[in-house]
Amino acid sequence: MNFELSTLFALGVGYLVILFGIAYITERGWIPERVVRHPIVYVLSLGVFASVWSYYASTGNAFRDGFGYLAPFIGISLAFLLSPLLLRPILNLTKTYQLSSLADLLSFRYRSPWAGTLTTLVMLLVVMPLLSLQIEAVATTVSLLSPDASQTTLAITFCLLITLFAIFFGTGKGSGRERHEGLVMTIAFESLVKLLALLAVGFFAVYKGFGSFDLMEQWVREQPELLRRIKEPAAPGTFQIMVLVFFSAAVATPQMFYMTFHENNHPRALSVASWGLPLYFLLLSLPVLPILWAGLRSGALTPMEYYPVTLGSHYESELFTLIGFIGGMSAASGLIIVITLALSTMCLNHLILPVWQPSARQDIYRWLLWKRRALIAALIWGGFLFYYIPDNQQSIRAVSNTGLIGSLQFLPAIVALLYWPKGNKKGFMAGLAAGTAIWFIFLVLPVASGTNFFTLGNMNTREIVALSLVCNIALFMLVSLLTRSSTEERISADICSVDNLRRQRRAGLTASSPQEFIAQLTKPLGERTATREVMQALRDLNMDKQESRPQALRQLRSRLEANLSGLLGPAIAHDLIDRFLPFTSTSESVSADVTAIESRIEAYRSNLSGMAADLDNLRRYHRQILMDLPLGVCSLGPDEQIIMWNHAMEKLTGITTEEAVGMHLSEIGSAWYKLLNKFLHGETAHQHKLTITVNGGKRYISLHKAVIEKSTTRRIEQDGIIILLEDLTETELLEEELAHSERLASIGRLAAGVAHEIGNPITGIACLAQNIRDETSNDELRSMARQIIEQTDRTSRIVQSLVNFAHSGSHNKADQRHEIVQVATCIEEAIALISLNKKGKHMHFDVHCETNARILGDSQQLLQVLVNLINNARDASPAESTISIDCERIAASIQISVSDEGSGIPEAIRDRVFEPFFTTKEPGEGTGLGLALVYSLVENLGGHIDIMNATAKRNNPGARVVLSFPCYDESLNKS
Amino acid sequence: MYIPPPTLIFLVFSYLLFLLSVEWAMQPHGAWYRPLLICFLVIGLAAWSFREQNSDEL
Repeated sequence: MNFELSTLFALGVGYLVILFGIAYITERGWIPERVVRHPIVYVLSLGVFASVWSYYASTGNAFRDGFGYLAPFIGISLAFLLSPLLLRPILNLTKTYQLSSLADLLSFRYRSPWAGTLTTLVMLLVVMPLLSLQIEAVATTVSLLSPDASQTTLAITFCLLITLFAIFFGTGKGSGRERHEGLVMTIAFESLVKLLALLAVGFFAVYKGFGSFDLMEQWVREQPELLRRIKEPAAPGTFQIMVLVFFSAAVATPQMFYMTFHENNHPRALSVASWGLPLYFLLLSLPVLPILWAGLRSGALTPMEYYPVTLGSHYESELFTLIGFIGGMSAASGLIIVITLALSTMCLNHLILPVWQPSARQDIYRWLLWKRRALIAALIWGGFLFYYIPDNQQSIRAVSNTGLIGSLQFLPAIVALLYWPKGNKKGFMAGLAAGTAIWFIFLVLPVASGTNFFTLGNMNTREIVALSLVCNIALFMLVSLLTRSSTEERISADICSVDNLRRQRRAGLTASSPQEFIAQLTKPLGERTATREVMQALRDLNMDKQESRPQALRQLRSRLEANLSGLLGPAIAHDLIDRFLPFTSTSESVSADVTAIESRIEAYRSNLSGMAADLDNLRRYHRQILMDLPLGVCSLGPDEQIIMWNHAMEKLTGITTEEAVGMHLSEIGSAWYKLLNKFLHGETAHQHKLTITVNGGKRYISLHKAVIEKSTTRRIEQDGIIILLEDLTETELLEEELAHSERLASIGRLAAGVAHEIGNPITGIACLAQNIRDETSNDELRSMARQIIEQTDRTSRIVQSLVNFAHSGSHNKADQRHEIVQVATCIEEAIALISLNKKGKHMHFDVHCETNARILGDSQQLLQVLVNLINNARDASPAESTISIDCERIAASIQISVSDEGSGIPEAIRDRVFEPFFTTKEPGEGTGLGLALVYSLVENLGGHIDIMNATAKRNNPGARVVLSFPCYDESLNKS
Repeated sequence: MYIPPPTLIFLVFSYLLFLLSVEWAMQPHGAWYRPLLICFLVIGLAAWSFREQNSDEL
């Protein structure tokens, strides 16, 4: 059965147009995101691995090797079934450090641009024959179905369409970092098409070739030779070698690395792929044997590799022939697209950029985009030349089969990067070079040229493969053990090793702000790119552009390196960041960044289980103890960066933990820095009652410190200093108040004694003076007697004041009256009493008092307090000015304030105004006991007195005395 | 490195299954699809083993 070329051409072009359409509508967001991001789509996209060799070659392999045809499926399935051990750790690395190819990963791990270059070159050798094989398969299929057609024209058209597709939907915006959802969707669609096509052809083989499944079984049982071939074990080691080759191909081939890691949208998708992809390959391998048997039964003369396509024509079914053709084309096109995308990035990052970089004046993104597009085209057309030039098409098939074995040479380095931190770049390159050389000289060259230039006795293919792998591993280990790894390699090994957390060093940076980052990166990248990259990194980390904490800047640097790695490859990105954003010279000695480790554990909290979860809970418990400790705890690294800052420190300093952690000590404010820095560098480990003035208030702080010694254990390499801050301010204030009260009490006792002793003689003197005044007619003597009486009156008033003061200080609480006092009434009464004194200045009173303001206490005492305060206010204010009296309820207290319009109280004497006998009035005008008495009475009433300048709102420099008393609340008091 | 218990069970079970069933699968007169049945069994077990679960991968 032959087809018109135009029919096949229309079908092929139509199919590729559908691919364009799927990619386009996905990129435009017309397909719901939940579909595009579904793990099944990811699993199907991984089906790209099932290319021509699985679609076509499986039937031939099944005939030759029996169940050995399952070896490729089993190999790649094993890699996914063991994903927690291999693929998951690599996925974490590639996502964190934006590594999009195996060359990126290896050059990142072994910190050598040469590692990336060597990997890319070997990879080119491995996959170029594979590319040409896909083109050849499509061209041969068409020539089988339409013998008159020109294979070359068809191959050129196919390559042209694939080139356009890969360029439009595979290069995105040019940065190379973003996922290509349109591409993933298309590849998933292609995988689905080839699976359905193969299953349909298998179904057709069973029911058209044999009539039913039972009849097929019966036919097979009648073919003992065929059954024997199927179940006969392959030559020792062949099956295992094939499994191993395809196991390593799951990670080491560019298309699988690209789809598995770069296009992965969620780690969960990899979990689904762990069983989903093996299931896909198993479904793909189910129809292989029925197709083979149906083909054999039909007596078809076409090569059995092409049975999936030609079976339909053998049984006169156009539909199934075309289904087979579409399936084959989807298998070939998907692989070409993904391989070229992956290889173009590898070639750009590891072959072109190391020798040719865009200048800072150029638009880097555009430059990269066009280079990538050119590389895609070059690779596809290079594959075409590989197909077109050789005369013997068989050699392409043989070289591509042998080529896949080359990917096995990367397996030791991949396993070592996760599980053997001692491996280094010299070992890796020596092993890879040796293994690749053996593979190339003894396997590729003889197959490609048809001549054995060198021979290794009578060794067969599998023995040569084993030899290359053994040499690779032996040299890798030997050279790694005999040579030293650089510091960077050790850090990188730590990062990649599955047993370690990703560690950051707590080192200082020469750039101290994002602006300086931009300025530094402008030199190699240009201002536009530098700004865009720094802003992108800030957005990724949810950071502010004003950020200046060293720890945050370190995170920013790492993020920038990762982002640039996705753009330019890890080697260039690392070199660029190292040169333009270097650490300070002391970086080598500093220890790991505990905060970074903690935040990483924090991010993975919900993922922890078992003993790890218990350990994490224990860590949290101990941390919480430190955080909630009522003492301020501040832990510093050796470089004086703040590592821990607990809640008490937050309260004390007003700096939150988020702000403080990562700061240098000098950034916490000059007052605290002076205090802590002096203590930090002092010799004593304890200092008591140091004073610090913060926000105008004096605080009393006791300091204690302990040095965290660097342990000899490798796992505990932290050192630094822990400082404890004990806030004694309240204790000190209480002590001061107590001392003040004690002083008042002693003065009161003294006053009472003095009053008693002076009162009696004064009364006697006054009586005698009155007698002289009343009984003498001598005017001069009477005048003197009057003066004596006036002076004794004055002395009596002072003595009375002393007695009052003494009594106020020694009031027995039990004798004190406890009544409900209406504050408004007391204020009115006090103003009335003051107004009675006509000798004083005339004043205005501005009273605002809540009517329900009540306190519990002695109304006479409150009255006396108010009279004294209003008196003082009147004395301090100019005539006709206003004295404001406010009373309001604030929460559970009553606040009474008396403000005047005088000159206020100078700061220097504010602390002394409540001391007995302290007065600012002229001699003879005040006793200095008024405010002392007020203080004492307010204390008796359970209140608090404060004195300050009047509010600025009133533009008044006068004084304001504020009294606070517990509010009387009827409902509370009843209960 | 922490390997979840279901993954360990899967690995051990698959290995034992392979040892015990390879002879049965390759019996000359047995059904030709026996090896494929074993593959289905292993994949089913893998699907159970890799169902959504906590992991300690940091």
